[in-house]
Amino acid sequence: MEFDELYEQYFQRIYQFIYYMVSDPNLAEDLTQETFIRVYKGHFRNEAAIGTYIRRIARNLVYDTYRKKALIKWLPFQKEHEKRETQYVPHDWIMQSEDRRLLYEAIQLLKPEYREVLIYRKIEELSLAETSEILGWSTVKIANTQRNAMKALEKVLGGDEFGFKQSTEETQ
Amino acid sequence: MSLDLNNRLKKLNKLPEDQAVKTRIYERIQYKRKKVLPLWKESILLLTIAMIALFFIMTPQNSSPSQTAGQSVQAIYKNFGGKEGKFFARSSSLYMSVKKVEDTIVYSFFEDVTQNVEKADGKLGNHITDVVVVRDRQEEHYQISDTGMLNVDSGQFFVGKSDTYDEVFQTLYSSEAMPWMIILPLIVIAVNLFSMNYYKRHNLQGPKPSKHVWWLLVHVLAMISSVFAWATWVGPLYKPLMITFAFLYGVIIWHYIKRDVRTNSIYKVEKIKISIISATLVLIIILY
Repeated sequence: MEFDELYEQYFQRIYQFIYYMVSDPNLAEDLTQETFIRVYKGHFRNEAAIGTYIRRIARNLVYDTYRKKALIKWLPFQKEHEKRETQYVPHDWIMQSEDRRLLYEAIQLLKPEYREVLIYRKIEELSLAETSEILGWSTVKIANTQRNAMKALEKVLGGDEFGFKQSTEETQ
Repeated sequence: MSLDLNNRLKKLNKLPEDQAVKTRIYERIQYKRKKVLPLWKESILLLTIAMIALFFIMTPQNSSPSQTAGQSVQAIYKNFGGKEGKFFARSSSLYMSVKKVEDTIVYSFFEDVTQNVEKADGKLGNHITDVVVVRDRQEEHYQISDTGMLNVDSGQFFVGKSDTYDEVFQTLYSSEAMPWMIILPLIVIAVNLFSMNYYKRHNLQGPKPSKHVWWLLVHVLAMISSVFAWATWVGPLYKPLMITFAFLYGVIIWHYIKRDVRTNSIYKVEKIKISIISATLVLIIILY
């Protein structure tokens, strides 16, 4: 498949995944760009579906970003721009609906592993096998993580033990 | 509740496509595609490493000779296990298997060699040590053996005439190097056993060697052969250069692993493996 076709077919899914994982439109744009540059430069060997291959690249880039953020916190003598955290900017489309906003913000409070399993399994509705290939986890582990993620999400949406109601009121 | 949540989550899959972002990213990718420079980048990286290595080689090595009052011999270095007609010692312990001599008897011996040896015709024995004596910032090269001593610079042979000579020979002809090299195969076997066991336990299929890796193996083997050929026929290996090679080896392997391995768990294991092997290599080079 030509690069342009791949870009056309996968751009939105990759951008959406990255956006939901990092919650920063600028960072999401950069990481999406880097994902497709790597797809272009990389050597796809048909061992997995091309979609899985692209999603893995995007996921690795997201986790690289998390690691860098964690590392930078420990570095002394940082410059001002390096200290700055990524900006949480919800998409206009998310803000247009109260239900979407609540759900989106609740997902952002979950840990990354839960968040990505929910994105793949519940939002994008990928099969267990597809998710297993992307994450490199067994299907059992995915099923367990999914169950725990759903419980955590219900807890965040239903209770106030995470201070969720207060935090969402503040953002309003 | 859960069913409702499922339906609500599904709705988040309809994030509208932002055409402006899509076009902007596409244009930037097109721009980068036009000026693809990975080969240049790699060449520059290799050139930089070569320049750093060259800098180490060109740096003066007689940095701090331990001269004391009234002594003209500033430092003595030895290379255990020399060969007649070849001289492998250097005036720096930054070379592999070259050691700085600290024994005062050896220093006294070389202060005035004529007291302990006499000029005579002869031949070096089977047990030879190469010695570099730094005297008044000038290097003198000797080969000392059980039968006598050769001044490599002048070609003059000396025969030991005192017990001091035998004592000095025994001191110099003692290997201080531990067989560190043995560690490497042990470590390689250990990390491979560990990774095999890990893959088995987690039901993962280990990485298959790709075409690139076979080419890489050929290059690495060629590099190792060149290093051994240099050590056998030319001279001792320079430690900073060898450390650079070991580091470069680790980086190259890691680069290929990152490119070829598709599963994060396998990538992590392979990364740990190559880090351990490279670190062991560096340790061996430093200790040797």
